[in-house]
Amino acid sequence: MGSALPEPPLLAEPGIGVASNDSLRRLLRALWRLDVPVLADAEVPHLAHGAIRLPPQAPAGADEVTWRRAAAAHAAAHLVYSPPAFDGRGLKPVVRALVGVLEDARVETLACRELPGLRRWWLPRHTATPLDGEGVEVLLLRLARTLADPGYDDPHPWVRKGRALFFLDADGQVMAEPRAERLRSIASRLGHDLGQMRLQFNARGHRPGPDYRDDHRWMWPEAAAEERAEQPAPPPAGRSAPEPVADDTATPHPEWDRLIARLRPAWCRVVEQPADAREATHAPDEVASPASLRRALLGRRAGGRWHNGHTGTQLDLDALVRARIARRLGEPVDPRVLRSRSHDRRAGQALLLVDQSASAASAWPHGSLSQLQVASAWAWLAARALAGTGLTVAVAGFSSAGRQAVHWRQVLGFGQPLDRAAGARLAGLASGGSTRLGAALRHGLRQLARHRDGERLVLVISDADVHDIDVHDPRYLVEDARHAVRHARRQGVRVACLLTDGRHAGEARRIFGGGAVAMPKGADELPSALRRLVG
Amino acid sequence: MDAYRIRSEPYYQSTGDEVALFEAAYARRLPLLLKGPTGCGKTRFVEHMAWRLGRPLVTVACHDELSAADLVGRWLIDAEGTRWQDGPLALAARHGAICYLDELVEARADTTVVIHPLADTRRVLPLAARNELLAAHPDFALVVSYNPGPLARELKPSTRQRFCALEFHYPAPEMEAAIVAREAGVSLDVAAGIVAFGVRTRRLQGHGLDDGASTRMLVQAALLTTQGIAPRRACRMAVADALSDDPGVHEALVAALDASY
Repeated sequence: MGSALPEPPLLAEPGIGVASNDSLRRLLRALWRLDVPVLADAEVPHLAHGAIRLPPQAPAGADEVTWRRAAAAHAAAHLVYSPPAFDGRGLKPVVRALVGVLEDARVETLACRELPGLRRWWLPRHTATPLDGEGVEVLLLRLARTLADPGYDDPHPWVRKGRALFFLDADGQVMAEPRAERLRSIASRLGHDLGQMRLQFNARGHRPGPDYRDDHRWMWPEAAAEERAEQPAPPPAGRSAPEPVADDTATPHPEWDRLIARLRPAWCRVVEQPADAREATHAPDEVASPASLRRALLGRRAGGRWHNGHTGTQLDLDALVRARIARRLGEPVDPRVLRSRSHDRRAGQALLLVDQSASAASAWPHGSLSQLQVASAWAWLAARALAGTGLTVAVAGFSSAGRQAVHWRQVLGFGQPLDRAAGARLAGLASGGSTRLGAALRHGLRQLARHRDGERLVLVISDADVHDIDVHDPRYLVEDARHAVRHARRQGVRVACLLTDGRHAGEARRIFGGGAVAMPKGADELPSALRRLVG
Repeated sequence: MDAYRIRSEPYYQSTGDEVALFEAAYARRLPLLLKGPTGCGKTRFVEHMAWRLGRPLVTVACHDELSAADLVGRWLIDAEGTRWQDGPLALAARHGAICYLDELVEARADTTVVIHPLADTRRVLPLAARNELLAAHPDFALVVSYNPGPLARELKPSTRQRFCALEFHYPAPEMEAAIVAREAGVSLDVAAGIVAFGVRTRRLQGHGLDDGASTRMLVQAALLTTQGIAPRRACRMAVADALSDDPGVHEALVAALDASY
């Protein structure tokens, strides 16, 4: 047995992580199997429309990451342990506020039994002390603190009474009323005492505390109804599409809807168009030589026509004779007498997909060209290098304007010559529209499905900023593209991405997997990137 | 074949009728396909069954460079001249061992095809390079494993349809805690805490993780605690940090771990 090591804090340092809405959502899924959106669009934390709404920024003085986690976990604890609503009929405002304090304490106690670490997120926000005064608001905060923190001993008799009514034991482990609907009687008794103390309660300005706790609007739906009536219903998370007219010549493709976790059949339509030719305004050949690229793409395979070694499929007679002679001469015998077929030619199809959305017009971060120009240059070089290894290559550009209009511009079809005209068509790709990557991938997969001999691969050249005009959920198209990639891989198709911009590298990794994404910062990095992705 | 015999009983906690089913399949020498997530106990199960049935066990970890010759055998040279060296599959077939091809789907398609004549009623292995048709020993049996994750390649139907399949899942939390406690030599309390976190990571499967924490990972975390590492730190090292490099997923894992202890 080793000596006990001191345990360093895991998250004590402020700023570890960013507590993005997505990571909070994943956290809640891991903790409670909850699937609830977390949005940063509210003034105060609250639960509404099936989502946890948090302010965009933590209150002053609070660590952003820890506070957002604390707030999200508290609201989620209500979703897990609280009833959908409380019956507030006949309750005075102060008793409602007390039911809120008690219900907060109840769900936090239950949550901490399962997940003791949550206490470390919540306790630092409980700062009320006797020095803060003895108004109703402060007493409610002091009650909240004494119910949350077993180590806090408040001298006020009313606060102590609240604790004694709520917990049966001194350690704060055993709740007197573990069921939510029974909290009302404790709240009524405490409310009665406040009345006896002649303390005034300002219900209108009251906001439950500490600041990480939600505002309880879900608890009293009749009170929140007026407020809801004032707010227009938000659009559905995924789609609120103005339905464009469908083009009958287009190819329908399904799309993955992450919210219902199902493919929507024939949801997108891909329209194929020939690409226009234009003289290249940049000279792709100068970026990196096709020969060096081809070597990179073949480098992983056995070098010569025959490869001798310890392993292999056939005996090499020459090596056997040499070995026999060496043995007779008493010299060391080279045991590498087997030879294997070299794989210096590849067979199969490669499809290069160039993202020509409007964002591709922006400047490439590592040079003076636009991202689309860089993407076209890379596509040209990769196409020639891949064709040089023996693969049949096709190149297409894609963009979209809503789900019914995904545009597919065929630059080079399988079997067409990779000549100057093809280069001109590639250079002629213009930027515009959005990026519906999943639909483009499925269309490409359909083209590859016609060829089932040898290897099949798709190389996407994009900034991975997937979006479309009819989608408002930033994760929707990412998950759809990820689904398309997984489907392709199940079909034995390799899918990889050359990134032209690092701003959406996270999305790219999510879609393609970290090992299938590369972002060359210059011409010299292209061979190694291609070798890693499609070599 | 003595080197391939399993001397002492490998610990395996049965979770259903898989032991009886394996025995029934072995009695009729039916090839078996073990399906299940990584680290859920497939390999341990095969070791346990080989010990139980008293058969030697030849295990091959398949990979995408594995050639048919690697399985079947090849000619080597020594002082006397050339000498045939049986590959693991030929060795098992010749001497009546159980041949276990771990993660068969990782092997190249042409490699998988060599097992076909062994996996049907013919029970033969053609050794073309040696001009020999090797008839399998009566005790020979073929077992392969396969992790059907969302990113996994699929087995060819012609391969798949030669096998009976046994599906494996992670054990129920109480049973998994008992397994972790037994494997790592930790208290049931410590094991239960580690397993509870492991179960949380599995909820992220399909939401950033291809697989949640395997039982094997949880045993490793428990083993770290026996070296004086606090369970929270051990889970971070053996599970959270090992599972994902995706910043968003890693952050959620570390936060879930922080909440768990």
